[in-house]
Amino acid sequence: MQKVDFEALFTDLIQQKLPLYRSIAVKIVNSAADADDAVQAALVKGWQRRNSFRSNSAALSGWLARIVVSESYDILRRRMRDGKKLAEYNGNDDDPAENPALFKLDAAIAELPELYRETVNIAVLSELSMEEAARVLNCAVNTLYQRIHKAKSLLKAKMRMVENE
Amino acid sequence: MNDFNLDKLLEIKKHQHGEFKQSTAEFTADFFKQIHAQKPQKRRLYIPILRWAAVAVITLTAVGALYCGLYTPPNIPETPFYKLEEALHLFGGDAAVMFCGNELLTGERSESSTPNNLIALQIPYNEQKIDLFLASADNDTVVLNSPQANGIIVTSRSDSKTLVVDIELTLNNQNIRTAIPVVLKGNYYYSTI
Repeated sequence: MQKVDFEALFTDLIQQKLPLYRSIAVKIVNSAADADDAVQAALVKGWQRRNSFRSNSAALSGWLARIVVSESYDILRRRMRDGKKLAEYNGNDDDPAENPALFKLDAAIAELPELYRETVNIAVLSELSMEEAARVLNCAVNTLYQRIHKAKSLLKAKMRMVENE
Repeated sequence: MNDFNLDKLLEIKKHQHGEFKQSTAEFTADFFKQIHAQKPQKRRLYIPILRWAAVAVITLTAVGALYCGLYTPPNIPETPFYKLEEALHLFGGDAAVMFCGNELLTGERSESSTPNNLIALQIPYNEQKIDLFLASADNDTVVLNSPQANGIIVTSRSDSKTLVVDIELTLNNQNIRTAIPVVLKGNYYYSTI
């Protein structure tokens, strides 16, 4: 079996995908430091599972993007456990002038089922094209459009509920 | 919240960026520092070897015992309740499920508790007898209301080992009226046979 130089593979992956992973994570945790922690944690998981992806580095990069989402929500949950409600949590202390509606949006996204949460974070909020996002999420572009539509209707319903409270 | 407002918010969110202190090179170096700091996982090769050894020992023992005539596989007969148990599993405990001959009949039960008795009996039909398999609770009433079968079956507990099944049915235009005691034959199986 051909020996894979995983260190070189991960170095390339980080060079190419770090901006994407950071941009996904920072929109969830709202803090650059926490976003880096989430990306590091996802990469460590990827390293531990590197042998499963030895022949398919594209699959590894897509899988990592999804792990970044879940690690970011783990960090967010830890912060919330530390006593801060999601809607009040703003990791970026340097920028207090935030739109309160964005906090409500964050909370609504966090409450979505995992499939739709990934869809919003990877296909709607990242800079990926629909085709790239579909590859990362391992689905057809048409399916992705349907998921986005469904995710948005769930978000609207959740935001409406918050508005009425 | 309408589509326009949501899209506007998502667009603002999409353009949020953080100020990352580490450069890509620093981030990469940090990552590899973490990776190298992790202890290499011990490869526990002996676990799969032990697993295979156990499988081999069990297989060889079983084959050897069969050859020496020490072990004869049990002859498990298919119980007459097999179909009823399958139907019960399929329809759930709330429905009244029974087999009259090979015909599946369903009705309504009065009892909300799960049927805990499986009963096999023979009822007179067309000057012969046919098998009736039904599930019921200790004191239960089953009402049948279908074109093939119409009527009522009441099960009452007589003593710890006996149930009485009172049947008043019109089965394919034939009236059946009988009361049959059934006796515990094992576990929760009751039968006249």
